Amino acid sequence: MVHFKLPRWFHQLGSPKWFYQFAGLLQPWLALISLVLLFWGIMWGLLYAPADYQQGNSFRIIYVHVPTAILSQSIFMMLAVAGAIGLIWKIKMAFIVARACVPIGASMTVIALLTGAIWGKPTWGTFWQWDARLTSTLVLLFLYLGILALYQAISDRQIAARATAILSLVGLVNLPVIKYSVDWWHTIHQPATFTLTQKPNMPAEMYLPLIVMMSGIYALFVLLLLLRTRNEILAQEGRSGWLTKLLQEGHA
Amino acid sequence: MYFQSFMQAFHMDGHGVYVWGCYGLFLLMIAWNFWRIRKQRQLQLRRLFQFRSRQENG
Repeated sequence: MVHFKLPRWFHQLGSPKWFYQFAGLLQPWLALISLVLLFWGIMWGLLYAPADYQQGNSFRIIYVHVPTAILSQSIFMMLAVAGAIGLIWKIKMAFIVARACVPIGASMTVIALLTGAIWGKPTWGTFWQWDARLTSTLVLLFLYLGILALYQAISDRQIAARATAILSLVGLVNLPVIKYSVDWWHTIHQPATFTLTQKPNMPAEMYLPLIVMMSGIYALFVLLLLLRTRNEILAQEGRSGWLTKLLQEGHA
Repeated sequence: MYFQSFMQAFHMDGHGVYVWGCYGLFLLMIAWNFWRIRKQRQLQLRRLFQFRSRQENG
C-alpha cells in the first residue's frame, strides 16, 4: 500500500499563527511577480498586440475583461470550497480564507461587467443586453453582494461563517450556468476564448499577452487574499499571545 | 509598437476611449483593493494597541 502523506506545511496552514507568518514571507515575492507580469501584460496588450481584423483596437479590452471574468468565477469556486471545508472539518482558517475571498471576488466581477459593457458599445452597439452570459454574471455579483451583506448582518462570526458558507455552496449552481450560457442559449456574447483542451483560436501574438495577464492577475489574487486573510487573523486572533508578541517585536 | 505614434495609440481609431477606459478601471480596482486592505489593517492594529494599553493600565 502506498502511503500518501501530506506535507507538514499543509497541515500547518490550518493554524492562524503559522499562516500569518508564512503569508508574510510570501507577500513580497507575490507582489514582485504580479507587478512584473501585469505591467508586461498591460504594455503588451495595449501597445504591442495586433488589432483584431473585425473589432479593431477595441479587441484589446480582452486582456482585462477575460482575466477578471475568469478570476471572478474561480474565486467564487474557492470561496465555496473553503466554506465546505470549514463546515465539514470545522477548520477556522478555512472560514477566514472564505471571508477574505468575497470582496476581492466582488471587485473582479464589477470590473468584468464594466469592461464587458464598455467593450459591448463599439462591438455590439449597446452597453447592456439581458443576455444569458451577461445576466448570469450579474447574478454572480449579486451573490457576492448577498454574502457580504450576510456577514454584515450577523454579528456572531461563527454563525456568519456557516451561513455564508451555505449561501456560497447554493450559489455554485450559477457557475456552470455562466460557463455554458454561451452554448445553451442564443447569445450575443462570443464563445469561450480559452479552453484547457483546445488550442486557442487566435494567433500567438494575440493570446500570449492574455496568458501573461492571466498569470499576473492570479498572482495578484493570491497576494490580495494573503493580505486580507492576515487582516482577518488580526481581527479574530488579535488578542492572543503570539500576535501580541509579534507586535512587540515589530514583525506583525 | 503596433502604433505609429503615441497620438495614434491614444486615439486607437476611435476606440481609445473604450480601451483606455477599461484599463483605467482595471487599475482603479487594483488600487481600491490595496487601499481597503491598508485601511482595514490600520484599523485592526489601532484596536489592538488600544486593547493592549487598556490592559496594561488596568
